[in-house]
Amino acid sequence: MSKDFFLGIDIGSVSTNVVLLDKSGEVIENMYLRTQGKPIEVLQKALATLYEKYGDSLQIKGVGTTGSGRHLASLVVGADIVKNEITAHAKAAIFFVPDVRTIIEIGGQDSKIILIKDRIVIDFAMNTICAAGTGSFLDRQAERLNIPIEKFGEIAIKSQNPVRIAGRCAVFAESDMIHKQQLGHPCEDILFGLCLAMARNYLANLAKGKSLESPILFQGGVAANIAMKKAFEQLLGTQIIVPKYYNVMGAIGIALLAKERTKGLITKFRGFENINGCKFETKGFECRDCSNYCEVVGFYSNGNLVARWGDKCQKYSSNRNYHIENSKNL
Amino acid sequence: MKVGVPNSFCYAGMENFFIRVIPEVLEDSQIIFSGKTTKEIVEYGLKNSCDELCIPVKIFIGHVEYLIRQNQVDALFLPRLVSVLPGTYSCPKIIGIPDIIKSNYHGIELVVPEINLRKKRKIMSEESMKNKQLFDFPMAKIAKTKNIMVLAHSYVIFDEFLNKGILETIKNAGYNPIYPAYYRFNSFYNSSDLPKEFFWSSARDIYNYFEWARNSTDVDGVIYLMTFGCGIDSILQELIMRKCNKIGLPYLCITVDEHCAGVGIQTRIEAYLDMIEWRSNRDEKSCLPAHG
Repeated sequence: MSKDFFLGIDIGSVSTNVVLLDKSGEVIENMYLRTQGKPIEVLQKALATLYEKYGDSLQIKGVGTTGSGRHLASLVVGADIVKNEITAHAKAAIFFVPDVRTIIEIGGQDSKIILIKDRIVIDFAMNTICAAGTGSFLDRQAERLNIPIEKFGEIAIKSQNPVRIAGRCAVFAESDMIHKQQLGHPCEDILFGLCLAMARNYLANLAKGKSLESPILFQGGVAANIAMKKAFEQLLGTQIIVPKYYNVMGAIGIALLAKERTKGLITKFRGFENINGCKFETKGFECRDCSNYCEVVGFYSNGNLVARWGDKCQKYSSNRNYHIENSKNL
Repeated sequence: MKVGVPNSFCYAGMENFFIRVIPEVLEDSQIIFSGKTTKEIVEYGLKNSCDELCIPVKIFIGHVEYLIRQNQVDALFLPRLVSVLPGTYSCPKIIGIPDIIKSNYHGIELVVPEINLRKKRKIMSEESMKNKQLFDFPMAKIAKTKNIMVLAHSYVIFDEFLNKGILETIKNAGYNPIYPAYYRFNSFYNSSDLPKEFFWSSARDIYNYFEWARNSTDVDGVIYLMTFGCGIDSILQELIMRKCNKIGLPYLCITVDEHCAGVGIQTRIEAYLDMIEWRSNRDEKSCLPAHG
């Protein structure tokens, strides 16, 4: 077995994903963990598990981070590349299905559509402020109906006569669901109705004016839900592919990008032992020096200040030694 | 007398005009500008406005509140900008803004002269109207390559709170942002292919700039910064998107609202610039037609 490995880390709002690729791009290890509001701890734990399993034989040649927590993660591990999740998802999809034309990606807090032609991204869209059509909404509804989220798809797919639910707004959708449930509609019909409403909302919101060509890939955590796949297939009238590693595609993409970036270079990876032995902390305060009231965050490793961000004037972020005593804040 | 001028929304970029005109209209006056938008001003604005207003108007109300509370001004100078470009009208919210302020702030003197280039009606002195230059926005420098067109109302482009520093982000990524600088443009370029000219001055200005820039320089992409709830933006955005799709220019629409964190905007712009980069790399290698 080749000893060169590449690490991809995708820290999203709901899940933290870590993958290990070998030189040829084969997925050796993939982890899908819940972020639960503690991205640094979850990441440290995941890396510790990897280290326990492989020990020193694991030679990391490149690391990439993506997702909404990418900047934080890059400080923890020492990343070679920090990229947005759209580019990472497209990269992975093209790697597995070279002739892919459309990517439907639905994650915890956001959903995206990526259009590809000749292995190049030609257009994309991300959901706006509203999170009505995303995983965390499905999560909440499953919880309300007391159904484990893993069973959601299984139950919903049995539906023969799905109910009509308004999917524009999460609040309206919920009240619609409650009305239907009080009228006595069976659970599976309501659940599949919700899937259809979400798919309709997705197509109306993100895909408006765009033509969705086949092959269509469906990835992100929500792709685990077979009823969502069925709903999209029903609405689009075409087959949809759910790739094998649908829930860690972002992490695979960024690992592939890290592999490209580190060609002939030495990685900035800090090493498993250094990461696991370190105590990372963040401290924030609201600066009151001017009326912008910036929320400044400091990142500490073993009590030493590593970086600061969030200030508009950059007096904290550009100068690490800017003493807090200098300001009126503390 | 302390005269307050909220220099945001429709009055952004008019500072030099005010400095010239106010002493003529009001004697012994000390002009106080509200300055750049800060979080404090935004909070004032959100507290004092109703839901239906667009975010620039909410921020404007914050500027007014700030002037009254912090600077204790005796009067507010709010010209009614009915028409600032011959043959057009301003947005109804711009025309009505002195009334919004009048009905909410009692006990403060409002000076509301009218500027209406449509009817050539002059309420201000002949002398001050001779120089019709109302706005002084810095023009964007156009580079030879790697230009990214940022389209929006000027009060969005020049308000860092509203756009979350989008111009800086583009510059840091190695691209050159170009943008319309309000109303000056129409005088030397006017050739849109639309069946009918736009009714609103800002829409005409933005669309003409878009047409001019894409025809006369090398533009890599178009970003439209739309303010949530803006009627003019909603139609203009769609027109420009269709045009971009037709000619194969990469297009991105970003909606700005009250968000405090700029992360969402950052991600979209990064992905957008990656897409442009990816395309241009490919174009060189295999001689595919530019932009897909």
